[in-house]
Amino acid sequence: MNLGLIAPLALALGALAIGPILAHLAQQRPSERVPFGAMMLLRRMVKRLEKRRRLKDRALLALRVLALLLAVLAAAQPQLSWPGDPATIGGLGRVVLIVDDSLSMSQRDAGGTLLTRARDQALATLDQLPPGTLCGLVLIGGEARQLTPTLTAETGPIRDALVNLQPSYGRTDLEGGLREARALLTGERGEVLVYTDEAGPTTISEAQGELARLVERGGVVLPRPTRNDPPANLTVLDARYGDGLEGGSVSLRVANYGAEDVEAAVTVGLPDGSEITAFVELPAGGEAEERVTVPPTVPGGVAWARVIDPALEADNTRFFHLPRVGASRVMVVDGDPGSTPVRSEVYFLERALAPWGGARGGVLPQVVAPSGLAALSTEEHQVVFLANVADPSPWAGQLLDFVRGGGGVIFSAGDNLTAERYNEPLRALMPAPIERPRDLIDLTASGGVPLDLPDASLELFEAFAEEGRQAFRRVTTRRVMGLGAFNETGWTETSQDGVRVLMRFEGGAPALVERRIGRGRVLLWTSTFDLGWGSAPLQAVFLPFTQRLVAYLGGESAGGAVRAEGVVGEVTSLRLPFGGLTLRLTGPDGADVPMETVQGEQTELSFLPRLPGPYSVQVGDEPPVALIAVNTPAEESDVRAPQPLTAAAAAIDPALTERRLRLGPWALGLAITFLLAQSLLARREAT
Amino acid sequence: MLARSDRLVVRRYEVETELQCVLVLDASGDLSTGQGSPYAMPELEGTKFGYSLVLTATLAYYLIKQQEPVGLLVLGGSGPGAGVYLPARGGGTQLARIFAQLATLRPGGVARIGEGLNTLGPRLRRRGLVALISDLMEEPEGWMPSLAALSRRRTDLAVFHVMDRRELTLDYERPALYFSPEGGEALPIDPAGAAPELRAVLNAWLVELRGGLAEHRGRYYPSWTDLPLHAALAPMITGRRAMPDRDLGAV
Repeated sequence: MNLGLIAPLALALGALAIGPILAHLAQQRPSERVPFGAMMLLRRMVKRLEKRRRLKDRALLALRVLALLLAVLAAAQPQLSWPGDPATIGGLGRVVLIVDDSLSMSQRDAGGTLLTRARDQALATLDQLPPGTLCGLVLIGGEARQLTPTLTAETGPIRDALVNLQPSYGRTDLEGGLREARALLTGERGEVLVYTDEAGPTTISEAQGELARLVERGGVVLPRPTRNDPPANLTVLDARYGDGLEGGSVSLRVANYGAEDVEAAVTVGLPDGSEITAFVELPAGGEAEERVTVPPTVPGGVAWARVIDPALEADNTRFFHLPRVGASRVMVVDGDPGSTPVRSEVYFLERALAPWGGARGGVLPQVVAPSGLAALSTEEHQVVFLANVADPSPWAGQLLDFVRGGGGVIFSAGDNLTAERYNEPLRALMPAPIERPRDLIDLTASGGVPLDLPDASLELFEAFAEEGRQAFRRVTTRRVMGLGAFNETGWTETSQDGVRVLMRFEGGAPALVERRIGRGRVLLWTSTFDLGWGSAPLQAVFLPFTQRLVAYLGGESAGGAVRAEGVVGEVTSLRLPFGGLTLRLTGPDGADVPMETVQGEQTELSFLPRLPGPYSVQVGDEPPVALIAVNTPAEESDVRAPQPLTAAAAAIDPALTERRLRLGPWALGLAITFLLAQSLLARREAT
Repeated sequence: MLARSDRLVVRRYEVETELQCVLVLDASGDLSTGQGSPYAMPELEGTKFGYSLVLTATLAYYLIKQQEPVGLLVLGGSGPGAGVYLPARGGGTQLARIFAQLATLRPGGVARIGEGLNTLGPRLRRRGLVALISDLMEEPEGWMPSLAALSRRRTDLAVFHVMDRRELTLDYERPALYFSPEGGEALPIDPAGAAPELRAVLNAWLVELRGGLAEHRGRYYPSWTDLPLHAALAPMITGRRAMPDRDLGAV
């Protein structure tokens, strides 16, 4: 409610109020003098009147000043205004009903949901419209859409649409709804009734521009807020697996948008069906974080975190990607069990991958003999270390499939490697042909040739960009595996995969060579992972470098599938590293989801999710090539309404929704009353 | 007488008791106002003092003719007669002396009735009559105790209250500064507005006066200057009730 003045300059007349004050102070005295013989009686009379007259004088002064000030106020034309509605809806002949069917409208109240309440109100409004009123309906859950192509006097279809209205999981597209309403009005004047809970921190502010355009073209926006008071909702804002190489825990961020502190149960559901529950204390209007430890071995996929909250159940669950967790993800093939620990690659790799023995996370590698490669599977393994394995040729096919399926293989050199058993049998796999070991310095001498500084722009070394890169210079070697000729397109004519040297020793000898095959990678380390040829295992950088190798080769992926995230009601896009295949997108309800693809060497895929949950892209009956975790829009969970639409509309043009009361006549009437009162009082004044 | 003449003789003696009378005349400045007196006197025409002079002279004449010794005490006043005290005596000479004093007397100054009455007490040797002719425009608590002292001496008290009707009804046309000839602060008064209030004050004052005088066995004779002189004197001479209610009602 506001009090304003139409002619504020008239207030300057208020200076006239000093007139009566001065008049009272002056108290004009008559000039004629009359001798009087009964002064004693006059003095008695004056004494008797003195008290009464003092009171009268003050009352007179107050009445006169008030009368004058009120007269001045009346001249300034004061006006009281407050937000309100026109007396009757439909008076302009055109009405557009905008109904919010977004996620937050699924909030429960005593009689159902906010959506049912809004629907009932809209139906009641429809019944009250004057006959012949042109009417339209727009829904704004997800993407705003007209349910009536034009305004119509036939309210039956609108009524049917309202009766059959179902809540969506999308965000509130108020801006789009106002745009659609403007389109329905086609530039004519009309009333736009908005049934919404106004939830979301930016819902109203984003719609300001469209609101202004609608009002500018004669639209009268009449908000019909439907809210729970006080608001209440819990939601999982974020769920993320681990914070290290393998993590071992799920970090949860839970928000409480209610007005009271609560303790809520949060359950994490893993892809294998197991569930872990934790309790979290949530302050009113605040957030809290909680960590949930996952079992040592968990298959990868889309997991979920759910908070129990009956106020708004639609946003209780948040879906997130969980990589395959467990020791079996890394296989180390021990090709040269050493007589002492320092002569065993496995000894150093085990400690680099699981410094605490796997008790506190990390990767506890599965150490096998070369025959163990028979059990290699993309379902269970992600990275394979072949440490100085003499003859992997019997498993060449398996290794190739493994890499093509998204796995990673690392060959480390050693005395057991021979060109005959590697180059030809593993021709489709090896990044470069090996020749024979080449001494960079005398093996009997101490020290060796250090590594060059790695290129921090490469993905593998990004983690060392800020610090740690210099530590690679401490890694030295005396001998490397000699490599044959190769170039960036590979060393075989049939190969179309990229080959590149990721790191070199000082002097130019390749230290680490990469080859991409299908969705996987193969790395060749030209020195040893024990102390046979070099000092790598003894250097501080060995541990983070080894773990980084695992992550680089797929430690953060799930079975090699591409991972993506999406939001309900927003187009989700992802790129698959292959093309020419027939893909199928399956939604959380198991039904096929329409999608658009652009095929080439890679595949661009996009779709519009309507439901939250896990989506998967498959080729035939093969394991998923992509997993998408789709969640509800986070802003819809914030059911507080920071800025009412009424205020926003009033700020644009208060006159449209404002009710006014002119106070001028009242002030004038009061001034006249005061003047009359002072006249009566003055007449009674004796002296 | 019976032995000598053998007849019964009844002798009748008539002894006249002599009542010492003192006329106390208020000649203060306030008496110089008023317009109701019908007695044509140079400088004093219509004033309360003119009326008072005639009343005093008439009383003196009446009492002398009654063979009473009469004295005069003037309170306030100006001229040779101001503050004069003539001890009570009888005879035409005394009357002439009183008239002479009254003829030269003019109103002025302040009466101070209480002080005057106090000086009178020791001068009265026996029971007598004290007649006060005044407008009584001094606060009663200033002179009523003196009157009470005289009353305790068994002095017969008579008060002639000289009043001008126009004054006491504030019968004036315009607002003006009203001032006392005796001095003091002038008051701005609107007669039209103040008259009702003054009437209430006047009534309360008269009730106060009558009550005080009755308490001390004094007789009160309202003396309106616009009424004939006998209207004030007759009650005293005939011994009628001295305070007819109609006089108050006429105020």
